[in-house]
Amino acid sequence: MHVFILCEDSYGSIFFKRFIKRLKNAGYLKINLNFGTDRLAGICNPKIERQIKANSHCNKIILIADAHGKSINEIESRLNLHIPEEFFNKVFKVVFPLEVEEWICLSLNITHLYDKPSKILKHRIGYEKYKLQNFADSLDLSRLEKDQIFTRLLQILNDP
Amino acid sequence: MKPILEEIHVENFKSFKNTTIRLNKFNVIVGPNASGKSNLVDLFRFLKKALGEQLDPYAPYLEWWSYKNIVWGGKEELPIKITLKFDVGGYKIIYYLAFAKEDVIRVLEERLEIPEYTKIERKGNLITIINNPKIIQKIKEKFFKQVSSMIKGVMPRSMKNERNIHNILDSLETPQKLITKRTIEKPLLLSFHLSYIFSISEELVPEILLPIMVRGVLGENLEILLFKLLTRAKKPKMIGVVLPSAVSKMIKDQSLPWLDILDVRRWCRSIISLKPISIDVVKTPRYMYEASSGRLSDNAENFILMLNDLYRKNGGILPERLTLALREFFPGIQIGFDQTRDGKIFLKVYQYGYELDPPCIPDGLYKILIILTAIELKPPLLIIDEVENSLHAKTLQYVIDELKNSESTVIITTHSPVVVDMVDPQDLLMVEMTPEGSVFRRIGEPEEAKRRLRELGITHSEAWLNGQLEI
Repeated sequence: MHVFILCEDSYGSIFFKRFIKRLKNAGYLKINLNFGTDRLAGICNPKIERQIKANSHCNKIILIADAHGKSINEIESRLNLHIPEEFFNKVFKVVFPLEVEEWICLSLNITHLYDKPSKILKHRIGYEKYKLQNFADSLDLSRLEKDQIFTRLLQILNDP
Repeated sequence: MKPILEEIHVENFKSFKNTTIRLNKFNVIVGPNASGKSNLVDLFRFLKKALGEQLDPYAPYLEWWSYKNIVWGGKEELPIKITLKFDVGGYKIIYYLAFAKEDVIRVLEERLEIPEYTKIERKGNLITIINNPKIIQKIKEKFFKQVSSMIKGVMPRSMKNERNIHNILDSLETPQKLITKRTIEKPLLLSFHLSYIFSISEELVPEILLPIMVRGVLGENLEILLFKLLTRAKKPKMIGVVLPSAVSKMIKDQSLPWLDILDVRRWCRSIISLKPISIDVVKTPRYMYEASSGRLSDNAENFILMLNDLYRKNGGILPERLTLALREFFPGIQIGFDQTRDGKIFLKVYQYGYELDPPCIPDGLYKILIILTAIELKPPLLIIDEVENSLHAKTLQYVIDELKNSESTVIITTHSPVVVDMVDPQDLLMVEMTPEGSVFRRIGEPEEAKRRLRELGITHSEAWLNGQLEI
């Protein structure tokens, strides 16, 4: 099965490329996947439509975005506007309530009640966005199993 | 807390007759050839020279051969005026200066201001300190007793009586004037470094009295910085400046009542402004002493030395930012340094174990290393002219994300539709040439523009190239 993942930014694209490989090696994926990743043109950018069409040969296209505290439904609706009707059945959306760094906080058991996870991590462990890819191999998967976004992603990847 | 440049207003510099540029943290300048994009890059290079460097003789225009080549329309009689507006921890600080060409270039007028608090102006030899009289009035009305006792604590004995304290507060209400003893051609008011400014005006070290805190005026704490200037006149002169104490808290050395929260000289010196890079120049081996400035040069010719410096400081490995980017975009490549027989340093690259000397190293590798090194140096302002050259689209995407997430205010110029499509419409700063000079504009309502483009089914770059973003 061919899956293409479009992420919020280049850091996410590199991170998910390594993370999915890890999920594959760790036996989390039930079906054999060939996959690629790229950077999403933007949450509301007419180029998304072209990116989807350019990957129309894939069985699934997953759009991964950050809601940054906004309503997840709102972000999904904005993405929907750029999904051509004929591709609706093969495009899936995964939206983090805040940002992907939630997973790092969860994995390191760091709470993020009062600020964005990336800011908390910057303060606590000197995190910067370019370091995201380093966490693909070190996230605690047993902790992530309790996370809704993680289970949703697995569900999409494992759905034949 | 770093000063953030929010706005720049320019008169009579190159194609900027009367131009205001409002900056975001990340700015992408687009426009046709000869619209003024590179002139903005030149403006910051000029500021770096004029304000950041110790020039002797003072001729910051030399790179452009003459003043005629940097002034609007080549009219040497016109002054060049530049206003920089900074945000420092929520306070606005404005620095203004005007140059003119007489026999030599000289600063005609300068101003350093925290609006609604205080302003220090210099016109030629006359320095004027203007405190906001409303604040002084409030201090007198509501907090006189407190101030009075505090002032008494720091005053020379002869001045410890109420009449004198009244006089001092009165004197802060009206403009206080000082005359510099010698003609100063160069910028002088480059920070609130008051003892430095006063010592130049009096040519004697002023006696510094401790700052006086005034709590709760206008809902916030204020600080009065008092100086006694020792002059040759019989009576010492008292000078005072009122500043928000949230600002003066940032004084590094509490024993010295001067402020370097905005040191314009240091700020300008730290700007990195990269011209379109000639990779052949960058590949040329350099002697170590050519890095002595400690700053990445405009054409990046000393880049290898700057990178070598970071490499050594990092314990013989590249900074992680560069290592991770190389792993992704140049897999199998390792970086090292070597020396020529005469001691020049050059970049050594190993690709899957094969050694590549500079002529064989890919241009794109140099380009990404230069940009990431510039980010790693954390300048307050990073300007890159024609960012896209030599970079593959995916590498360019990564570079754009790195620039957006860097600690610096970033300005990039581009001709590339690929870059325009990668960024948010609100990051775009469009420039066009008019008979009245270059004009910079942002998209008025980015969300509305996005909606319209979605309905039309066209990309940002298609809209930009066909004038649709200008509606």
